[in-house]
Amino acid sequence: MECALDHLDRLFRLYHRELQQIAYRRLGDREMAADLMQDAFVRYVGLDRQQRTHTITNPRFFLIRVMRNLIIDLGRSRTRRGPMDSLEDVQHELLDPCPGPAALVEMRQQLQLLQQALGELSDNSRQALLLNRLDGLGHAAIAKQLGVSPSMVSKYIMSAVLHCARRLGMTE
Amino acid sequence: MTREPAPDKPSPLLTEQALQWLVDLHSGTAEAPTWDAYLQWCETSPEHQRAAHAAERLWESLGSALERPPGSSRRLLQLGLVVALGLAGGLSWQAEHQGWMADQVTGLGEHRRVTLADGSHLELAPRTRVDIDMQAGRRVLHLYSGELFVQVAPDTQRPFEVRAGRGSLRALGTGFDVRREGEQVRMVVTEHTVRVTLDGDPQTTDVEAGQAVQYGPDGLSRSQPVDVATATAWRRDKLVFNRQPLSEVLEQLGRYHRGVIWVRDNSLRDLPVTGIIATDDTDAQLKLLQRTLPLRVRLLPWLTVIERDDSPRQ
Repeated sequence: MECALDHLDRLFRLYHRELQQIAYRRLGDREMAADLMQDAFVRYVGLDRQQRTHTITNPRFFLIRVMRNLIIDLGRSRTRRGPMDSLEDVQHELLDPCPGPAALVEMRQQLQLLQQALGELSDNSRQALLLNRLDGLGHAAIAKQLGVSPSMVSKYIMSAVLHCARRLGMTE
Repeated sequence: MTREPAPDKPSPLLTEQALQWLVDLHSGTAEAPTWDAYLQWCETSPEHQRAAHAAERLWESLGSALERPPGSSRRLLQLGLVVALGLAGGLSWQAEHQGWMADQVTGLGEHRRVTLADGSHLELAPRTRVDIDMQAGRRVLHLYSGELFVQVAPDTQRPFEVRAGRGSLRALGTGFDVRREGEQVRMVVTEHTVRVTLDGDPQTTDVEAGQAVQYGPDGLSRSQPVDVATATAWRRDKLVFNRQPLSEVLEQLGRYHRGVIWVRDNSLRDLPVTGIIATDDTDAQLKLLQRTLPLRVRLLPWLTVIERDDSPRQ
């Protein structure tokens, strides 16, 4: 518990300014920006702890996405232009309290496809992706480990990601 | 990677571009683009947005797919576990955030008095958003969120009305207090009479001084006698509670408190709270709750955590 709170507190200290800046540049209203930033954190806090550590590999990324979607929805509610889909989109991914059996099956299938796709990657591609996505290493550090140039690392990762996207039928 | 496949798939080309953005954003090099630039790209068109969502989803799930030992599906089931904070769901959020561009917006802890063009007096509680619409034939306030007290200047030619949620409150020569939280509206009459009309309902209800009504998705309550001084204590920078559930107390206190109040244990929400709370030092007031209730309050700079603590009170 202490741990979780410390973690949240650290995240907040690390990212709240950046998030607020992003929101401010889009909305031009400081109070609104501060509110949305907090909203994004509240949604993060609202996640179950296990879920948080297991499914969010990059909290900053998650927070920025949630906030971006809050901004989109805010724009929609202002103009009443459409349904509030985009927030649900991110939330659905992580906050669905009880995914239906169909959704679960689909998620499982997708994950299987993904793992299959990852298995088909070249060693260098998989290694680069792993070090980047899981260990959070930058391209330069990975380049050192693999003995290639940083721009090569970028190509490895991109080709790995594209392969997965193809396997999931996203890019055809 | 949830729900049924969308009928219109994001453009493959844009999805590829979005993936390139994500790879670059996570490169950790000096040449990495900024998030701002990426978000701007996403805003180019709805198609860009959809492609970005798809790419982000893939990027995120790559994390868990890499981590998870193949063959085990244990983690998947945990996806569903969630601690609700009472603010999930786009609709209540929408209601909360409508009126961001309102004529009068009060900030955290702000108590504002406004005299309207017709001489009516308006008092706004913190975190209140209201539009003022004064025309030749009518005077209308739109309350989006928060609480206001109004002392109406008589004008027989121009009826005075407050629109809030799914109903409207028409002054019949009057002072009254209206609070709106989401779609729930509560109105207390301090002087004379207020006429309540729900949208789409031909019937009207007159509420007299010293009475209160509430309405919301479940319709209109019967009017009930209330202690007017208690109900409008916020005008004197106090909040008075008489056996009200903790969740309601926190909701009201939240309008004066910087940061998020998080109740870890749902069973705490219904604890009855009685007392007078001064709104000028909410940290101290929150700490005071520990004396009488089985809970512990921990204050972080942006987050207040309230959790159960059954050890004996001092």
